[in-house]
Amino acid sequence: MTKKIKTAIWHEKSLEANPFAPKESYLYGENYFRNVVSNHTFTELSFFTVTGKKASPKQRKWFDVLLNLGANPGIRDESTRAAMNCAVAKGPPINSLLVGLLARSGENRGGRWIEKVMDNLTKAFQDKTDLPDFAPFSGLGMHFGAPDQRAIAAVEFLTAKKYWGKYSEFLQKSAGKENPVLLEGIIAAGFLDIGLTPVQGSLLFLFSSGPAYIAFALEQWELGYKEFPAFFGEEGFSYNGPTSSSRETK
Amino acid sequence: MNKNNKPTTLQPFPEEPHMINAASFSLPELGKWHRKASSKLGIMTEDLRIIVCGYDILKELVQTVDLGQAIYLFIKHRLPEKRVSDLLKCIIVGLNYPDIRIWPIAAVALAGASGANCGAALSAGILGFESTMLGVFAISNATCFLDEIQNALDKGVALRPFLQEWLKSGKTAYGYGRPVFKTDERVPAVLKAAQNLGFGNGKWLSLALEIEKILGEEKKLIMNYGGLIGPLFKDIGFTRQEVTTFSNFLPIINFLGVFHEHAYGKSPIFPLSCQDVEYSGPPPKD
Repeated sequence: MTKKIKTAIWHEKSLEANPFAPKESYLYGENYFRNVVSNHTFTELSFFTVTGKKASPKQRKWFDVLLNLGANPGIRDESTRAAMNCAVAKGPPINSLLVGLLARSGENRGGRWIEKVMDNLTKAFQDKTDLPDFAPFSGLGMHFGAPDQRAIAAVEFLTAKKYWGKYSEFLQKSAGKENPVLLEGIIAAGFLDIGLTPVQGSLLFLFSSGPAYIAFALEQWELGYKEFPAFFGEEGFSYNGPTSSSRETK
Repeated sequence: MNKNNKPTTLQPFPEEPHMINAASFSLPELGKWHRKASSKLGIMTEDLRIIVCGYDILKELVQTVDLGQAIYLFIKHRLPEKRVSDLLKCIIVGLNYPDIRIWPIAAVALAGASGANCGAALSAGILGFESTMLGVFAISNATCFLDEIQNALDKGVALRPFLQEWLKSGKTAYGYGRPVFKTDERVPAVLKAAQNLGFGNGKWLSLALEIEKILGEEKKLIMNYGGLIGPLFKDIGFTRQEVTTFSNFLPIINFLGVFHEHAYGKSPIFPLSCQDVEYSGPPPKD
């Protein structure tokens, strides 16, 4: 028996005379090119595509804000710098976007971090355990050795607009002087509040930062390596491994 | 095109398009290939033998071929003579140096430090190495530059005037010159190894060395690593596409080491303060 791809997401009806050419395409049963694309914003469509559910007006706006919060890690973030390093070496610019996304996929406040924090928020909330015990995947901590000012700004408008649910509240209540709320923690909690699973949240978080890498990479692509810090000739990089007389031979 | 309307393709030697995705084919061709594909490289047979270019890899190759031979086999579909695989090993080892100040290597270290998986960090390095300033396209463009020169020589154009005209037009002399540094420490070491293996008098290497002499006199340009290994690849029969494919493997060993050190390291990598960024956009509004 020949196996087929199984999906509940995408369906195509082919042209009668050509089984390879799609006549109509459907996303969760809705005609994609005739109805879906013109009646949804990109954010609504992303939510619908990933979850299979239509976001309520409030969910959509909240989701939009959460994606915006994660949409720019800043020019000094490791992921942005990886993307810019790729750009100044003058490869295809598309590589820089991919590099940025790859570098932000990780466990240090990247995609996998978001997933773990969402998991731990769920566990701590359900089991009534202490969220800080899940550090470094608690959504709490210092940002460059200081309370996260990005998070403070975000909490102010999220609460004012009532983009605030039980997980956001739980995160904030779990915070303390030594472990204040992190911006990425707020995003993780918000994703849970609007009904995303940890895996969905982590991937959408990662996906949101694409335009930032595009902008930063294209800027450096044009400026070139001569304008970009590479630390040659500075004293910042040193070797402290074995010497030719102290190296191990076996 | 970027915002200054400059091409972002790999000028002056754009790659040939390779469009074989199904949507590019006609209905009769699609009907012929419906749910089918083919390979000249290899297959896992129903009795679980692994066939690569006619060899049963587990029975015939596991204990006999080295890494250089294996890579050559997978790209060229035949085993190389020993000195060719030795040359490939020299080329690979000669390119792997673990300084994280170099751009693609920095990408690996930064991705590793961000907690990315090894596969993601490695991919970041490979993508960064696919560049024209150094790495894959610098190497393959060096082979294109040689082809361009040979075409001109075949038409009776003398080498020096051709190079003078090339430089005058502002085109990059791929394979010559180096960012940041004025010399390339890898070239004498790997050139010596190539000469010891009997590749010192190859047609393309000889031409490349002749070019270096003229470019040195004309513009003080030195042969860089791509300028050395490009002609060596051509002398062992690699096509441009094979050079491009093989070159992606070159920094992998180093990337593994860099990832391993920095993913599990104890210190950040060149952290920058807000003052290390020189802002030139519109004035900030609060």
